[in-house]
Amino acid sequence: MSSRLTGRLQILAVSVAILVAVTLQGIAAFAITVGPIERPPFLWPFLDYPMYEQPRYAGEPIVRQVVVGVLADSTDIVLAPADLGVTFWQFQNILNRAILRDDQAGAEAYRGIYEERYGRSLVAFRLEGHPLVMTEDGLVAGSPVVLGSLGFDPE
Amino acid sequence: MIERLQRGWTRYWFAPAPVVDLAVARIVIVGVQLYILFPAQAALGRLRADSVLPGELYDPLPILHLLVAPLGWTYRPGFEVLELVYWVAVGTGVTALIGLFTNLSLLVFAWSNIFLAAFKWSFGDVHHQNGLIMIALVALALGPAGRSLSVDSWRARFGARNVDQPGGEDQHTSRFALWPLLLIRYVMALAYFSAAYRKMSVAGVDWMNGYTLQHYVLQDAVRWDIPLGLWLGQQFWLIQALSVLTVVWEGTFFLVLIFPRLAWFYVPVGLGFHTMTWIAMRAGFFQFMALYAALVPWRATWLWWLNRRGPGLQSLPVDPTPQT
Repeated sequence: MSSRLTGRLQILAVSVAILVAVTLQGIAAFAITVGPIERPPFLWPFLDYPMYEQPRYAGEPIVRQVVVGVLADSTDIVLAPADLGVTFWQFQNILNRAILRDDQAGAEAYRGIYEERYGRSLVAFRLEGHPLVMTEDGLVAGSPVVLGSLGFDPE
Repeated sequence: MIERLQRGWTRYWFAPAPVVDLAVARIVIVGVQLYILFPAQAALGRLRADSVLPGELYDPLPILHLLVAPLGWTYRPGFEVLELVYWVAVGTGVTALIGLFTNLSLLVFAWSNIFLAAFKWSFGDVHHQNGLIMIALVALALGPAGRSLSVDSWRARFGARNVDQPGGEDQHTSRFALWPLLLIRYVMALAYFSAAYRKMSVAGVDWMNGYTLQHYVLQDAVRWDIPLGLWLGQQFWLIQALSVLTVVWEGTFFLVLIFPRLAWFYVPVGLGFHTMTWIAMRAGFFQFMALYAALVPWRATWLWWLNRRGPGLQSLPVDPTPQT
């Protein structure tokens, strides 16, 4: 095959790759879902970038979320990601959301991890919000509130 | 019409370009991704922890399904497999960095990093810092990234191999040296524009009210206990200025595709932006920072610097090929 033809084939192959990559990034970036293509992260590593998109306003508190596990003897224990061997984001983005959505199935796996690790039975999760508000004197702590709770059906 | 488009496309993406520009991008991008893999103990510890998470939490990304398909569509890699892939990534990262069997090294490095990252993000939690660099690694693997600043190029120069390149190219330029860099710029521009678009479509101008960025800076500063973030979050007017700069910079980043010289503004601002988000918010986008190497005309910059240094340095060998 002549070098000229080889060069043209190379250019054609690379051009297809370029078009595919740019198209996929465009689809993902703007969540242009067509047919079976789902929203990101379905197309990872092609993604959209929606981080920090929500607006915030004066006086809006910064809420630190704290997960409390309720044991069978009604004891409350504060749970941290390290207690379950997961990352901060796996903890926050999955467990916390499951509690807020009353998604028992979604939280069940974390309950199982805790019980296997510590041999104690968890009957509920409670998600507390510990607010901080920006004032002229700096950040001031507000009163904790319960954001959600999720009880497990007795076995 | 089609022929004109074809010629224009070829002129744009496949114009002869210095291979050293691609090589520097290779070194920076591979170097940063290799650095991200360390320390090994922490990385392997995380892989081990994820490998034993309950099956209910495992939700493989489609690309991971594709990568494990030879072993079964629903195959879940165990720690031994992940550890093997990890060390393959480290080994090929080193060879790709020094440019030994460069294209093959880059291909395997890209594959292994995509595998590890896809596994990491297959537990319902996906983050955004390493998506683009995976695309960049594949692009580098398909281009002549080892034609300069590499063991391969030195072996070719001092060995018995013929250094003439196909298609009449010389050893300093290649028709295929520009497209990987352009592709990286395009996906970066789409990513940044997407970020600005989401901010504006969800929040509108309220995103620049100062309180929005202040909230996020303080949220992360409190979460990770960052004194600098706590201080920055309380400088309201500075925060408001930064929020305007953020939206304008992200929303106009695509201009570097039209006016490449604007990289001299966007790259330093971008490096500053991502540095600030790391030190004030622990939001690390080091891989994005590495990708800026694809925007810098390294060879032209080097020649410009040589010319400014005075007549002494002009006796050094200077590549005679035209500057881009």
